Amino acid sequence: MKRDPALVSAIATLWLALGVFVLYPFARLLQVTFFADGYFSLASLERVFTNWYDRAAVFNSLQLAFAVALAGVLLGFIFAFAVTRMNLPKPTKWFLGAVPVLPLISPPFTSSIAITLALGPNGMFFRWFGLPEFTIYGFWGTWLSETLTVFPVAFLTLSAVLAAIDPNLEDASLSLGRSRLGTFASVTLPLTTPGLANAFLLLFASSLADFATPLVLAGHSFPVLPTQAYLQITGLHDLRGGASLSFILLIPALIVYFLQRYWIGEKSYVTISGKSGPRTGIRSLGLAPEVGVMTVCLLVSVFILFLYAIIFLGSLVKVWGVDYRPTFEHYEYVFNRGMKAIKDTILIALVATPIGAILGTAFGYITSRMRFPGRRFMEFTALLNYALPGTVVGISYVIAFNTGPLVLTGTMAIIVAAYVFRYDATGIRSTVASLQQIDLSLEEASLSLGESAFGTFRKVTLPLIIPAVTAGMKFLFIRAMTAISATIFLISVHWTLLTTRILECMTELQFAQASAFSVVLILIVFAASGLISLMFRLAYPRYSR
Amino acid sequence: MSVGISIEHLTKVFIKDKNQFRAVDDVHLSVSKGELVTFLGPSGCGKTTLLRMIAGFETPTAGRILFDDRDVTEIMVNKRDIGFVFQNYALFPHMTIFDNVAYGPRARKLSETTIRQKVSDSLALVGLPNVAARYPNQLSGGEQQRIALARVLAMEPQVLLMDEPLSNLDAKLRIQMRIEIRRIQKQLGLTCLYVTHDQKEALTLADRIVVMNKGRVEQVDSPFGLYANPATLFVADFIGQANVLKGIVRDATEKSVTVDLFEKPYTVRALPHSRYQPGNLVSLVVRPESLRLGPVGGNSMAGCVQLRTFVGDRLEYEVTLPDGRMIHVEEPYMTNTPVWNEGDQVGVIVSAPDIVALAD
Repeated sequence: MKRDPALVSAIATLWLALGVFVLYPFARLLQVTFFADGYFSLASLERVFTNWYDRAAVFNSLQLAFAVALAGVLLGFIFAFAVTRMNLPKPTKWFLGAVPVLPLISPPFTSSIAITLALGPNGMFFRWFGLPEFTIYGFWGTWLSETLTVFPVAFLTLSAVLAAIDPNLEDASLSLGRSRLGTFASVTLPLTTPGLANAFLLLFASSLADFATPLVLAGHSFPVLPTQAYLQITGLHDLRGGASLSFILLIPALIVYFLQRYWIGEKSYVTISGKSGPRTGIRSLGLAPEVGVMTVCLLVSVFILFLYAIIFLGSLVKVWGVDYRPTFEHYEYVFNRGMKAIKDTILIALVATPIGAILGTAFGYITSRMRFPGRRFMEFTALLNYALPGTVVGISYVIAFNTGPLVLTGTMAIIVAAYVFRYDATGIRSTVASLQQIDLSLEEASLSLGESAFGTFRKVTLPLIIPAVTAGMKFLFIRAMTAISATIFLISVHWTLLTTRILECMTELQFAQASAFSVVLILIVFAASGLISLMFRLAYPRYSR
Repeated sequence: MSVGISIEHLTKVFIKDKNQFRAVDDVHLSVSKGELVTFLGPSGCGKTTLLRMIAGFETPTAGRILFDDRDVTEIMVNKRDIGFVFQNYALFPHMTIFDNVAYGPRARKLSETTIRQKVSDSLALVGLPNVAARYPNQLSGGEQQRIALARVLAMEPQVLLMDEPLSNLDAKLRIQMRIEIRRIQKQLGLTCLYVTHDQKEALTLADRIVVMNKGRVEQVDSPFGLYANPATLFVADFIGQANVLKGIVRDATEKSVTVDLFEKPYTVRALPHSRYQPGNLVSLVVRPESLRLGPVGGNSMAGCVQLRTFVGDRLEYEVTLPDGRMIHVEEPYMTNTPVWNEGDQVGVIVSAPDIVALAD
């Protein structure tokens, strides 16, 4: 296809943006880690490995990530299996599909607050069941909370994989004389393997990067890398130390990212073909396994709903565990003392969402539809900030934009930039995936009918990928409302966030106020994502895809 | 207004994983105004790449493309004034049929009344005047292909390019659409390039056929010319069916060659520009329908029937010759046609003027 001169300037603009907000902070992080007084030095890394507490943080982080990923994948698979591979009544399916979405769109503290209220000191569980007190702080509490928070990701990816497996394959195995469980073990499970590996890596990475949960639940006896890096910087004002810790955190994160892209990416068996033969119905796996699956699903679902109920009720009583008289005073607190945080958060999300949507669509479109040198590297760079733990991104932004040619500390711009270049990833990925489904000939048809490249994009491509763009916008908005790990380093007196207010409440043991903030945040997120969907449905009433 | 097309030294090299692949290799061709030319060849022969370069979807590695005297090689596809019909129709799924057909005229910023007129004219031309308000997925495959054609016609393109437009349709519809396309093309005097891998389609549609193989043009000729005088074994085999026998040249004139075949002389047709050296081996292209079976003896080759197939209007035989080679024979079937059985010894009667000799 002939080059459009506009394309060259578009590519240049995108590279400039990536250079300033992805590559430059990354380079500055490496510089601070590896250069002391202008000389190359490994001293700061050495310090991490000689300090026993930091060494423990490295080990703990990996151990926790492994345990969370394992449990999360198992739980996600059980849920996905129930929803896609069992004959359940519609309402049950809907319920099992809806409950895991709650943790996905909640602020990161929700489950840790609820677990503290339920299982922590004075926790209601122990009173109800008359169990001896035991401390939830440390590995187990963090593991439980993180597993509940991240398993929905495994659920979503595995449902897609399981749903795409043609039941005819299982019928073929049955007709060849295998038993139902034998078929599951020799056909269904192996076909899911790449999906399982992918989900494991996703969960491993999110646990590794998780900052909010360990901050609340890990405690001093169980240090992990993201919180250690944070405390190093905010507590000890040791930027170099924080940078070194985040560099160590970055290595496993990058390994996971590479494995996911270049190993899993080539191994998927499940392809969507246009061919749709008659599909047979779902075969039952047998009574005993199905009862087992349902028991796990229902218990976990009820526990999740129980946690959300605690948050909601906790925000409406005087002091949880002590004084259960109903009150609105916590909401008064939120709307008086917390109003600035609410306004700032919404404004930042409102600014970041459209910018991120445009950038995400542009990156997705250009890297999958255009051919130019450095295309693969551009795609890699555009997704880099998302692959890196938020703590790493936050610290690298602090290093890059506190001093130097571009000073952004204390501005709204730095928070918006952090969100845009980190959370446009879903927009990029869904745009790429959606473009892969759209035959190139549609765009060629438009060009051959005399339409310009930009007109073709506007009239043909964009309306067809609008669902992907909407999904990207929703994700970006939700994350801009609920994220904390990167932006905790970037807030200032001028710009503060709801999530950091929740954290402050937690550290001052104001659980009720934290709960009230969380409820307000969840409601805003619900309303906003509904609004975004509605907007696009009105703007593009019909796309038959 | 239609234009003539000249293609000069057109070459396209794809580079994949550091391997060069010459998809189209130094192609020359000139097409007159109003002519319908098909590009025919097996998959991977470069015919679609050639068409896509003419459309402007691919940039040639070397060579030029001219529409009349206008060099369009460097011109973007949306400024070339071509109409391209895709194999999968490529109708915009989110637009009505009206909006699909109006897409080209709108891109040219014509007035809304002109656009309306053009859309209804085009829809009438393809015989679907009443579907403007519908969406593509509400039409059948054949109707969608008509709309794809109407969408292109509404632009009044200088050149109509079609990339296997009928291959997604079933056999009956394909024949009907073939006739329809030919009618419209003649009625509007369109210059049309048409890619297909179906030799029947090429033979029935084309003024001339370009047979391609491995990126190169094997032969350009009218359907009659190609069938009667294939220039290469590839063409002989690709157009229709052909038995290829080996013979030794005894004597050659400008028009004919005398060849020894199973120790009997046959005087067969010679191709212009070919050199036949006495004593050399030549390949003889024998069409199955130019062979007849009869009793052993006389001026026939001895053979044994291995397989008989009845196809309704004709009988097909596989017959082994004395050297063990199998040939394919087709005889029209009528009530008094003798029917041979498997295992019968037969004489294969050859009509020598229907045989073409290809110098090796």
